[in-house]
Amino acid sequence: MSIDVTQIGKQFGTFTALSDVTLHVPDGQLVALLGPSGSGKTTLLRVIAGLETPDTGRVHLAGQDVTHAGPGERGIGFVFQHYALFKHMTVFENVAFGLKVKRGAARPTAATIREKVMRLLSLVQLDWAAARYPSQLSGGQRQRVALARALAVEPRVLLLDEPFGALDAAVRQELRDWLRQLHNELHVTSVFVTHDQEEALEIADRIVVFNAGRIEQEGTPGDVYHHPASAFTYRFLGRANVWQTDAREQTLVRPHDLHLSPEPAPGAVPAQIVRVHQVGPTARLELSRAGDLPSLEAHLPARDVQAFQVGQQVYVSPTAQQTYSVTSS
Amino acid sequence: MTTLPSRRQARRHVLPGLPLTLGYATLYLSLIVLIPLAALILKAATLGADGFLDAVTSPRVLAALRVSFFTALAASLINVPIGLTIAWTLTRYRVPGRRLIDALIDLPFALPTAVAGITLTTLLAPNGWLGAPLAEAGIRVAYTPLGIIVALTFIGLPFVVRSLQPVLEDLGPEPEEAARSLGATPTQTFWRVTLPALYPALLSGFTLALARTVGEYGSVVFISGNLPFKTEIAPLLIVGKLEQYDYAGAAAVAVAMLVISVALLLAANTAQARLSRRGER
Repeated sequence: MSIDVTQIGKQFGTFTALSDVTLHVPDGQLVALLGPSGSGKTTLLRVIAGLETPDTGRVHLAGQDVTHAGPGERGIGFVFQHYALFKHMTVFENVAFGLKVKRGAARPTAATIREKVMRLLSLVQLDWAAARYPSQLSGGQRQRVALARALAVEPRVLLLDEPFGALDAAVRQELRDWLRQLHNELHVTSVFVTHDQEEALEIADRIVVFNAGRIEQEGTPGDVYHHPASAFTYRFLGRANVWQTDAREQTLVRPHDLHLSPEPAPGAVPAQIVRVHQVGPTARLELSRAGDLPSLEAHLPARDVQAFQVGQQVYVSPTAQQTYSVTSS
Repeated sequence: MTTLPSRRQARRHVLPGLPLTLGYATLYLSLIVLIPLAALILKAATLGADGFLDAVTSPRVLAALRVSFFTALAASLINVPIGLTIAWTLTRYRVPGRRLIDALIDLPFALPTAVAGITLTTLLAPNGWLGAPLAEAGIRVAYTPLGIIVALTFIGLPFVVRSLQPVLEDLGPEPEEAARSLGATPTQTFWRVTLPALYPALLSGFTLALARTVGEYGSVVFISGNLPFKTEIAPLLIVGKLEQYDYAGAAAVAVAMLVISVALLLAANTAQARLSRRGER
């Protein structure tokens, strides 16, 4: 089911959470809303879910205007950052909740509910935990229960608010891969909010970058990463060095796009190595340049770093760079 | 690999001084609770088994015990929905004057109970501001068990509100939002998601209010009228026996109250432990 939000605006007191946001999410895609905290991404997700009412603009799901429909009438599944499981219910009862609260003819029989819940629990690999309470599970397991609970009502759109934000790094990576896999199997249109650019780049079909209540840029992970439309996006998607700056323009370079050589070369700038930090496959070098030019951070493959040491004079040149007008940042 | 800690190290508590604090706790508990209670039971025991049974099963004593426990239970039950509504309003909405209302909740704690009793009696007597219209409608409050229930409701309310407030503040809107997103109506959300999360706190508030009101004396003596067999409460009967120098008889009634109270509190605590174990483990 496609999602269309049109010219959404939302104020909280004097704070503008969203201003004039328009976004189209095609059917069956996995889309990431990416941005720093307070940039409006979670508010937009909650507006799509019906948990927040926009001040202006419309929300359409599959072409149908749902701007004033309650969250329960939209056919959405919502996954919260802190799981929001019902603590007094077992895992089974949590997943069954959405089916049990259906009224009249829409409510499945107890046997159907049982079968469906167990199927979902084995999909999230937690069928063994059906009789447990959420407090007996780990964070990653709880989030999988929350996902099964959201999927039980067969949502046409799955909305996830920083779903892995509260988990530690290893579990986060595992659940990230698993969500992508699940999406490939179920093809339910999904939107997830994250402030982790790596997470967004890795699993999303499309990325929407937010900044101060507006959409900064939108595109495939490749588009957004290789062709950042603004200095903000460039800086948000990875580490950035200021290569050159003046009143009108700013040139930015990624640390791994810096080439170091012991010999002078055309276009290369002299610099001195201040610090070498080498752990893992990539070495990080801190370089200071003459005058008031900003210092640089360079990333080299660890095996190439042998040639350099602290205090050494080197010549640095960018192999790729982006120039933005200063007003855009 | 680091070496495994020895058994002795693993058993050490982070906070020091367990033997000391345990010692003090036992000492104070003995001085303040256990020794007076033991003295009470010893005094009642001077009646002998038959004398004790006669003392506590006399019709007037049984009637007084019934009035005491019935009115305390009723008042505490009434306080559960009222306390829930007040705690809910104070935690969920930014009502104007919220701080003032919040401070007023504790008033029954601070007000001398006799003052509360006299005020309520004046208000609810057949010629009082509230009593007169009620009397016209055929409802008598002062000098009836209903009057006792009103006084005990006043006394017990803060216990329910104060038990619920921190839990409600802790609960947060997410579980309710999750229920709404799964298609539950607001009514279903309240009964199936919000209220069950509050059961342990409601029960502990109810228990505290009950424990407090069962022994309440000051506010009740004024409003109840103290009619034997009708509105005479057990604490008043105890005072009456003391005034007649029947110390053993007074102790016997006190022991009867003690046994019933302990049984009720034990049942409530067991139920509460079971309820909260589901969520906490």
